[in-house]
Amino acid sequence: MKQAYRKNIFRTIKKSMGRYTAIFAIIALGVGFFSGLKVSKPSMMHTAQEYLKEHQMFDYRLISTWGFDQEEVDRIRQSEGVLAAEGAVWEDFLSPDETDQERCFKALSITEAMNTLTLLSGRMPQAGNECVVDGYQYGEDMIGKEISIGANNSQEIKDSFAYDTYTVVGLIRSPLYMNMERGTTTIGNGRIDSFLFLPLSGFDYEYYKEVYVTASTQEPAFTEAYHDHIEAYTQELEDQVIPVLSDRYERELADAREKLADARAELMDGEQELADAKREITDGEQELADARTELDEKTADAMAELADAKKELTDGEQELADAQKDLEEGSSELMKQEQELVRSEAELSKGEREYQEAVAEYEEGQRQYEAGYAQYQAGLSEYEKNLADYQAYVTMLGENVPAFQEQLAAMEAALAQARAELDAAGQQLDATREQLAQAKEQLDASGKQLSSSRAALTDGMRQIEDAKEELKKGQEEIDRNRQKLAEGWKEYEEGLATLEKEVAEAQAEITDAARELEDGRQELADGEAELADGRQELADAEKELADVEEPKLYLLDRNTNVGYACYENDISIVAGVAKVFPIFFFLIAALVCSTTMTRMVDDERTQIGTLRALGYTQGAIFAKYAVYSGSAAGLGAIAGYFMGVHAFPSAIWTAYNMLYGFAGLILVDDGALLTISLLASLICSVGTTYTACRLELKHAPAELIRPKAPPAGKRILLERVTILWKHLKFLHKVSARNVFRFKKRMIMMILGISGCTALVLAGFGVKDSVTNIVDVQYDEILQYDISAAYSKPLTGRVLEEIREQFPDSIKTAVPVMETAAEAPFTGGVKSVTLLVSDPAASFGDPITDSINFHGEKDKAPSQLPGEGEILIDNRLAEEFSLKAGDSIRLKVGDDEVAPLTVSGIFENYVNYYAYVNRETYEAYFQEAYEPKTLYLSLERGADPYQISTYLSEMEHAVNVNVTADMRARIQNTMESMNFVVALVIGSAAALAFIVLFNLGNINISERVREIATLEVLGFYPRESGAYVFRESMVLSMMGIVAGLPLGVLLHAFIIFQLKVDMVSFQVRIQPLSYVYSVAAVIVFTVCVDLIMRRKIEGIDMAESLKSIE
Amino acid sequence: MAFIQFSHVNKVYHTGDVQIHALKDASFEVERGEICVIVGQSGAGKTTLLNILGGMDTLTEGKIFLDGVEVSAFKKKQLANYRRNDIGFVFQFYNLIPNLTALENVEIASQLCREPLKPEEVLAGVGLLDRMQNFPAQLSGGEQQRVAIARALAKNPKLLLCDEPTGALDYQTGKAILKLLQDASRNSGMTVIIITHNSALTAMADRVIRVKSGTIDEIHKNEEIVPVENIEW
Repeated sequence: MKQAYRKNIFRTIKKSMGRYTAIFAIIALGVGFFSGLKVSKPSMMHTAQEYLKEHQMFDYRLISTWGFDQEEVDRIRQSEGVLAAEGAVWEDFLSPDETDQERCFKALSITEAMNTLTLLSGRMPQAGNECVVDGYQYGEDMIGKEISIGANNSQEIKDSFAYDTYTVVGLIRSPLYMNMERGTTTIGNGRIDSFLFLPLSGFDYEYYKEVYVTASTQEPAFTEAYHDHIEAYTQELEDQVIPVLSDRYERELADAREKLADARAELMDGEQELADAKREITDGEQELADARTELDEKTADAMAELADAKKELTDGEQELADAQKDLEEGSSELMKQEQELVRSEAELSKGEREYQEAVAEYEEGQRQYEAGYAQYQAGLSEYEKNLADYQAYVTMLGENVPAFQEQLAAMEAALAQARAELDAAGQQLDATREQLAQAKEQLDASGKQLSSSRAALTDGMRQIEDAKEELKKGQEEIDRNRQKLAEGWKEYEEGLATLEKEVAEAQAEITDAARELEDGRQELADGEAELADGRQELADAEKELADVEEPKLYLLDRNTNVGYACYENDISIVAGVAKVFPIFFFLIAALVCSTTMTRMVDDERTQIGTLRALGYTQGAIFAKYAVYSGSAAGLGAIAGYFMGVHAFPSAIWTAYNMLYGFAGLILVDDGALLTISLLASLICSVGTTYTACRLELKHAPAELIRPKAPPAGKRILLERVTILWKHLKFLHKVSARNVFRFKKRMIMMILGISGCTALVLAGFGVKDSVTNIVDVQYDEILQYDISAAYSKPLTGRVLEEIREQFPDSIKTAVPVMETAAEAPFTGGVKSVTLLVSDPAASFGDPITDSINFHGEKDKAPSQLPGEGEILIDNRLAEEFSLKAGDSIRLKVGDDEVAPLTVSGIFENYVNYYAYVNRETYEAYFQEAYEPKTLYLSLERGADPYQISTYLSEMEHAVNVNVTADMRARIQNTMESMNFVVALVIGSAAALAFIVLFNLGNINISERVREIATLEVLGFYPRESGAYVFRESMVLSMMGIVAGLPLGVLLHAFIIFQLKVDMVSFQVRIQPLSYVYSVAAVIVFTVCVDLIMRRKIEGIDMAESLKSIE
Repeated sequence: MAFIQFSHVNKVYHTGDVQIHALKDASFEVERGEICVIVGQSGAGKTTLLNILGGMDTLTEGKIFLDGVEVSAFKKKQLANYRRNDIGFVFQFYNLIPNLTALENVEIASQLCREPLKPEEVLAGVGLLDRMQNFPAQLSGGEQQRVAIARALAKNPKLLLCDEPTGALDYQTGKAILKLLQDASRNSGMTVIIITHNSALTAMADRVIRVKSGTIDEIHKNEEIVPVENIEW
């Protein structure tokens, strides 16, 4: 190449630094992204391979149902194809941490030459009671602390440790735990929280639990060759180990038989003893019954005697009382008589007085009569005299004297009257005499009566005195009798007391005897139970002996180590992303190169013509542009490769560190990748340059020198829609026409923008898919706020207690059984959390209150499974390609279960879950249903930590988890994914920017003249800017619209490629992400526009005066 | 005061350390309605003069007035307005927007300013009534230049500036264009300034200004104006 020509090339580069840089940058970005992502997986793979090699990770882990002794380990080591073999012990145990929460540890023995530990801090254990702990979970502050074997552990576990507490002396990492998965266990809540390593002397063990074996293969881990070797060798190893184990089996079997015979003899003796004891007890019982009868009889007799005595006494008392009463009655009668006598005497005295008075009265009457009679005699004599006088008169006066007639009549009347009066008085006097006679008679009778009464009275008085005497004698007798009765009572009381005392004593004697007998009986029962146990034991032992199987050997390869098995899966995420994104980048880079170079060739058309005219060959001219674009691309590729290969894996490893922090990243330089990148970039740049040049070079030089005819204006399709067209503003019409004028640029622009939109959207989408699952998982699916595990099955009373403690906080309380199960598949196992609940439970809320089992697509609630059915999550379903109606095998403990029918599939993203009801669990897994876990949903506003503290302080509490903590933990993991996503979005943004900038740049430089002319015509810069950018905006919009569906497809594809063991992702893009993506691209467009506007303002109007080149 | 007044205008370009005196103390005047031809060799400074007068460039020293307004004092925005409303520009290479029809090319200018003429009428005036709907690529050079002139006239400017309007045209077509310009000036009284290196064109001008090495070499009024048809070169 001529020197001047070379100068020309360099000057061109220098002059068009922007364009050169654009090509450089886009290629650097594309290559950086491509190689960075491509090399990430190999780098991480290599890191792991080196790590495993250095730390001598086992190839096989042998487990025997019989364990291994040292001799057996030695024999295994000498097997064909075995490089090394080492026995190891492990034990899971619970240990209370500082907050008294139980944590579940796995203690492993330190192996010398295999699975070597990386000491992060502190030192390795030197004594049996020292340990080193998981460096992922603990910091240096753990060194010096003690880990104790908690009191809650079973005796068996306690016995397998040589010490009660172990002092932490260092922090380590183990190749057995490459990631954060710590595995499952049968104690606690079924999950291991952390591991620690002890020297063998820290364990109290008889046999090794497992033997680690290294096979003699040099193939690096994870490779096909390695797995092929292992697969081929497994059978061979098994065939060698089984005979080693069966030797001990034979020996032990013989021992057991002998022991059994001894036990049987012992049992016979026991039975004889028991029979004797039984007989003794029967005798005792008879004796006791006799004693009881005797006592009863004697007591009855004594009681009867006493009762008679009592009756007699009572009768005596009654009699005495009667006598007293009689006496008293007599006495009162006597008093009455006496009183009557006194009264009679008084009456008698009164009668005598009255008699005297009557005698006196009679005498008075006698006298008055005599006086009256005398008066009467006198009166009669007067009358007779008066009558005589009258007659005298009458005779004197003679009858005819009328004057005296009247006087005579009066005298006659007076005489008659006096006669009557005298007669009356005479009569009266006769009556009085009569009366007096009578009275005399009466008086005489009375006098006689009175004197007889008096005699009687005196008689009575004498009688009363006699009676009184008699009464006094009676009273004396009564008093004597009473004295006698009191004495009788006293005797009776004494007799009764004596009897009672005697009976009580006898009773006590009998009770003692009965108790003794009861004890004897109890002893007998115990003896019987013991004997029964002994018999059972013997039967069991016999059965065991009969059942005893030959030691079973399990050969587990590295794929059964969760860390190892997950690692390859997990780092495939990056490989998945690396599959699609870089292709996109390259496509867009090629696009940019093409437009840029086409433009450049167009720009220099006249120069090309001139050079051709000067005699330069087509090749030489093409060479200029090839060198131009090729050097930019080549430099870009190299720069991009080195930046990408270092930056990307390191950045991604930083993110993975949270899951796999076992070693520092070893960067892999991949020469082939560099070559591929370089070639691809050169094809992108030089290839597109060639297509751009080819067209121009076809023309004759003369043609080239002439200015290129400006592209013809054309009516566009839109103009035919007259109604719409008419309503457009004039300048908008121009823009519309311009948009379609440069078809190639339009397509480039739309492709570029849509590609970037798709990338940004896919980036945001991946972020959504990653972040979203946390929300869906912990808001939609798992609805409980606290899960508490206990060492005893929950009861209705415990639930009630909790509810009473927090009456306003607890919404639902669901008792469930959470148990770890394994789903075996070819090449490994999936650890599944098996949930069991009893839909017919008498207490607690149904499980559907805390876990929302629903379909992934339709969100319809899943039917709970019936017996023999199982509800599995969509992750298991996907992993094993299962649908409703298929069957799945699960393993709980060591036994694989007959297939269960899948009744439904529910949405879940974190871990693997399956659900069976109690009946199924008990029937198929043959274990007891023990709901030891409690799911609590709280009312809004309740403080879960307050409740969790209470729960963890309850009796038998093992472990209490607040869902919010779990959520945060998963969120953290997801955040590391966000890092990768941010990388993608950032790169996509950079790409979008470069594309837009480049296209905008080209657009302007192609139209400098047009813009200058418009400015000369008087367009304000704002108007001319709008005139140009209206087009790029329209094109951006079209690109965005085209890019969104593309982004959705891209996102779906990437998610399909992403695979992590612990979580799976949703193919779901949030509406907001569409907004963000569109906004991002619009912001890029506007930014580029703003930059371009400055460029437009800088356009010299004098350009319009120049001739067309 | 004259319609256009250039007084003591200097223009210095700085290119790195080199200073180029494009215009040195240039003073002249043009009256309203005149056709003025500015003639000079390549590099004499006529384009600089035109750029400054057209508001596309600023001067270093001196003053310019158009219709009594001092153009030299204008700021950027005012200059854009000045170009918009007061100046019509005819380019050597027509500078039509390829994506617009003839009519639309006129419209894009006429829609900018305050008192435009009707685009159809102007186009009819330049004899392109029946080619109005054609795109520039479908028109000949002369026709394109007519569209350009129509575009300039439609703005109804105070001043029509023409930069070598015949430079890219053949002889006959060039003449027709010049005739069109002369007619436009005569009919509407428009002031027209034509910049050319072709001295023959001075015959059609009312006023001739000769530029040489950045200075005004000669100004004279043409007493015997020759109709364009009669000019030969």
